[in-house]
Amino acid sequence: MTKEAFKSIFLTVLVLLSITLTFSIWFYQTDYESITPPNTTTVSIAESKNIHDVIKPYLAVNYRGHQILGQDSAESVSKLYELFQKGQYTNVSTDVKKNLPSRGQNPSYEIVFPAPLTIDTLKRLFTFNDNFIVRNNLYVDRIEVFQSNGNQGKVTAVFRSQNDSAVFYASVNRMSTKQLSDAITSENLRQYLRQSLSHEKHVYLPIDKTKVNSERVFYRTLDLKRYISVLYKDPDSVSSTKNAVYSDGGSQLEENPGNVLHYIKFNPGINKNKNNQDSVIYRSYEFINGYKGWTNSFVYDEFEPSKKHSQDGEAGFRIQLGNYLIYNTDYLGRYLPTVKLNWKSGQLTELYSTLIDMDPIYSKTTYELEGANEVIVELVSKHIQPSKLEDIKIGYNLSNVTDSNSDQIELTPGWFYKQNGQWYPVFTDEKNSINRRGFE
Amino acid sequence: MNWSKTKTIFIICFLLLNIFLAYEFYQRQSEELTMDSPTQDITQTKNNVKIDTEIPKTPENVTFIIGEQQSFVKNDKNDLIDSLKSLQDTKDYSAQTIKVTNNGRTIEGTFEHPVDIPKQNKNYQQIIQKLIYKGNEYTYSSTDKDGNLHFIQVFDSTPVYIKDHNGFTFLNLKVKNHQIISYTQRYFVFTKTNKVDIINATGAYDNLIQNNILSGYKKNITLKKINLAYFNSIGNVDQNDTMVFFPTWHMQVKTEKDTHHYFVNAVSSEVQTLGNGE
Repeated sequence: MTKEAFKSIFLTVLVLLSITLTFSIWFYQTDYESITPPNTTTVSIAESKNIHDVIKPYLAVNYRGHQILGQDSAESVSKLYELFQKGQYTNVSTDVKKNLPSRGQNPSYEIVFPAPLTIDTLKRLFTFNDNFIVRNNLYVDRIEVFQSNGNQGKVTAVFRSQNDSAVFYASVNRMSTKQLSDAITSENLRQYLRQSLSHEKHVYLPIDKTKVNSERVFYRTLDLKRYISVLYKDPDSVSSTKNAVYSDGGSQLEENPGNVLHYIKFNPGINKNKNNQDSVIYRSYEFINGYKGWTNSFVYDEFEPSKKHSQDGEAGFRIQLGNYLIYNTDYLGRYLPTVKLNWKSGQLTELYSTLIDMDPIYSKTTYELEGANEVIVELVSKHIQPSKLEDIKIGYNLSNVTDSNSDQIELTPGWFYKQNGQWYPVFTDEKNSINRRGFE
Repeated sequence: MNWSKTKTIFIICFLLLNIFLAYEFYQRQSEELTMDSPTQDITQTKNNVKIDTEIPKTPENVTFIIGEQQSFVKNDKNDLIDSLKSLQDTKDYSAQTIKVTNNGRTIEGTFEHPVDIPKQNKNYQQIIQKLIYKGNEYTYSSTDKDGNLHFIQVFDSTPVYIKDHNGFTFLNLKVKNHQIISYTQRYFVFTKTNKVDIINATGAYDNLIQNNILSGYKKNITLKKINLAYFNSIGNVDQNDTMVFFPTWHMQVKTEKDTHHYFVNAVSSEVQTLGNGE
């Protein structure tokens, strides 16, 4: 009898315990107040930027009779660009054979972008009062403003393509050439030569020598892992290999030699967003802005539209320092000073992005770079025909940072030319006439 | 029906059920603890540190600076520069003999009449202003185990530190029997260069904590001082290069046994130390 009573009591205790445990598990709540919330994974790398600070001209040109005067000071070009932005563009006409003002009668002012712009991008940069359509394959990389009858008459802006031919023109309100003249004038204004390159692209090159300082910069490397939450909708589905290659099965993220991020999507599939009429240029800007990816002072400098679909292609952004862009002439390091995006079927299929963030420390040595004629002579002497080149520019050379065992690198100025999508130095180092002035 | 057997079966069943439920309950609690642990360590370290100083505001227009060592001689004959000559020719209590070494970039001065050390640190400044070339541009840094006094250079009201494997000091006063008998001095000419965006002092302090720098000390950790300073990047002071100095948050942390100096690079957030037990 005693044993049975004990079994009954024990069974009751067990039943009560099971009820209590079930209740505890069922209604178990974490005491979130006692837990310090972990840092939220923010999809942001550096900073976002206004479109006008990324897509901007690098040169201002003033036509005075037969003279071509150019201004490459970033400050002056920026002032001129602001005036172009303030203008209101009306009465847009694509009939460029009629009523087009010609150079020579009155001075004209032109801003030149590093790469061609699509019409939708132009509409985001400038204020157009009319809606207009231009054939898809026409792009604008320079805008020239004329004023008839001195400072009193009508102001007309001609939007030109790389080969200098007009794509469309418009009347401009709220702008006068007097303002443009004031903005462009400074000690840097000097004579330029107009040189024709591949596909009749016209570039402007300074005739006289150009003095540019080399720059000592501090750089830090960015962690590739920070880009996982940027490039993958579900970062938890991303696994990594021993070689730090990240993949979710459909795409791959890795660090190429020399601090360059490389992301590739294997099968983009069909375009899910056919209504997206934004060009590759604007979409690329928006994409980088979306994760605040402007780690350096980037400038839009490359556009290669797809031949199959107008909404696909490549767009690139390059780091600018002072008045000039930065180039790496080594094939493996060519993406080091850039962010380059490739779009297919309306989706990002490939991305190259620098993983270094630079801060200029001080100007070091003054270099005197050759004038336009010497550049052309040098190219021809190397059997390089300018008519086969895509571009010629002054810039800074960024050597591969893996070559340096310090956290500082020196950017040296020089002339560069672009051929088959790759930049090369015009002069070898010993040919650059160096005028060592020391630090001032 | 055998009620006794039924009770036994029920007891076994409920026993097994309870073991399973208890295990489940334990698992849930463990998960919570795991979720809690990463930030808890940081929070715990942060709670262990007593902040005994005011956190300064971030100054505006902060720049990098570059520095070059000044030569103390005028020509190849190693003639002293005029300011040092006049210091050497002084006839009063500061009379001293000055010897130049290290290609003219270091001077070693020996006082004819050893100078008494002031009792208070703040009075060191008055002494070096009178005895040392450009003494007003140096500030007291530390006293080593032998009682020698170390000073660092100040630029634009900001102290400048140099990390060097050979234990570089800007100004080192040698002390014997509470008297300064000689000194070694180097002088940098600094120049401001480009402006740079820097992290604030709180961010630098958080960075120090997040890097688990202080996690080794369990109690009585006190942040005694935090101030903006300049700290050199990689470079060799003996190669006479132009040296680059970064804006850096200098933190003085007192632990039970010692005082430690940490430097958080205000541009890259990297944590550095002088590495010579300063």
